[in-house]
Amino acid sequence: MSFESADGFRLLKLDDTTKRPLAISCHAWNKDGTLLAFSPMNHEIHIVKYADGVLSPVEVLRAHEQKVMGIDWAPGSDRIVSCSEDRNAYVWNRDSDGWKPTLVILQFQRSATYVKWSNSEKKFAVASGAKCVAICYYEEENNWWVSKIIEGFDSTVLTLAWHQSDCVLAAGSSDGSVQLFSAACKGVDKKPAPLFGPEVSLAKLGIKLCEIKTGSWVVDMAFSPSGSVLAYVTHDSCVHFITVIPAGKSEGILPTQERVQTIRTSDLPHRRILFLSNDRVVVAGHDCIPAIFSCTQDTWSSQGKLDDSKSKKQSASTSARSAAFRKFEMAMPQSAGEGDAGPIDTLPTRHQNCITGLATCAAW
Amino acid sequence: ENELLKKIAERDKAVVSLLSNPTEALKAALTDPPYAATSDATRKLSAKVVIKAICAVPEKDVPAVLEALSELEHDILMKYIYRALEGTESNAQLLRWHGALTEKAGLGCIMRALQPTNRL
Repeated sequence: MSFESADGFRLLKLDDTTKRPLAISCHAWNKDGTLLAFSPMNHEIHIVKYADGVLSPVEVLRAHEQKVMGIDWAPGSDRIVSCSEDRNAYVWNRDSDGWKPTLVILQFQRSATYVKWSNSEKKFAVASGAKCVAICYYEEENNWWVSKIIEGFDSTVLTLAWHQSDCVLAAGSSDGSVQLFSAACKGVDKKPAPLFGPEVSLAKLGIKLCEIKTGSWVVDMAFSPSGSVLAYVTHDSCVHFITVIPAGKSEGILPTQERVQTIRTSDLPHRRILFLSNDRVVVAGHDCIPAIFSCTQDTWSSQGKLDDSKSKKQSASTSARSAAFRKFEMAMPQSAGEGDAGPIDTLPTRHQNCITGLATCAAW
Repeated sequence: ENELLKKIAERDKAVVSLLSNPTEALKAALTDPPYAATSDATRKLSAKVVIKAICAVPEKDVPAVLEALSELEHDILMKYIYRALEGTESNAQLLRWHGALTEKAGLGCIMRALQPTNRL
């Protein structure tokens, strides 16, 4: 794992046996940025403490049987949810002894691919290779997590994004579609406000509200912090933006194909997208360099890259970033490399391989 | 399908008439891409029109012509180049264009050309 901060700090965690950087499949920070949970492309979840630029191991959570595909840390309730190729999800609660898992039976026929807590942290959504999405909430009477399946995709669902109101969930799939569903659960959420006007009912769980077809896999998506813009990256190296709630209005318009603003980039496809603020977005992926896009008056445009690909000793330029946020990226190491010296051909960028995760740590 | 063939024939005529102005000829060749075509033969015909326009551009002018095309036209051109490379004519020229276009539009353009949908 490596991360950058304003002064170009960089940290690498080495695998104990091969002494090469660990590949990270997914990661999540806790609320104050002191603890990090990540999975080194296997069935384990490592919790490490971060203090003064040093990572120290805290615990290794072992419950999954196969590769962990997604981790999310709920900042408020301090719970971790993880989903895995073994078709299960675990909710981890911390007690005096450490982290204890609670199994969530998702009823998936195929691997889970992505998991995200809702904003209220009372429920979470899991995407799956079984062409469906599960929304899970806790049922007090039975003392277990209930999973409700939403179908409607032609292929693996790769990514999810909760709207700020928690009553709409966006999902992107490798069948090229971005679909919005109503996601309010009876008994868990309050009655949902009519986000898209009185015609569109959000009362029932799992109703498809709209669908946008892109030509290629929708790899990652995110709602802006205010919930007014949905942004997604696709495997054809494009970044797309669609305004869900126009500025100054309280009612939204259901996204349609025509209103999507697509930016064609000349880079390799992006794997992750993250909103730094309501009008600023960072994307990163196979090019190993994060890039920034910002919005002026409803139009998004590229603001350049964060890594100037020069010698490693130079610190990353930070003018594009807001000072209150720090950005952390995870990278997969290059697979080629002989002996203990590590990879022989290193890229001039800070990350040596595809960036697989982006997270902000607001407390910094 | 016949509609598409007619449109391709029209495009062919337009390109031939504009060959003295290579940039315009190429732009004309890139209009109306037959995404909906169902037969391979139609697509090959469509690609031939573009090859004609490409061959009319003198080598030193290639970067300037690429500069004059829009982003969308870059994507369409890249798709045509891949389709045309499946054949055997003008391959040297096409490869040169591929290199120049990649330099101009980047690897993202190639990614978009290789997507399974909207193939030309």
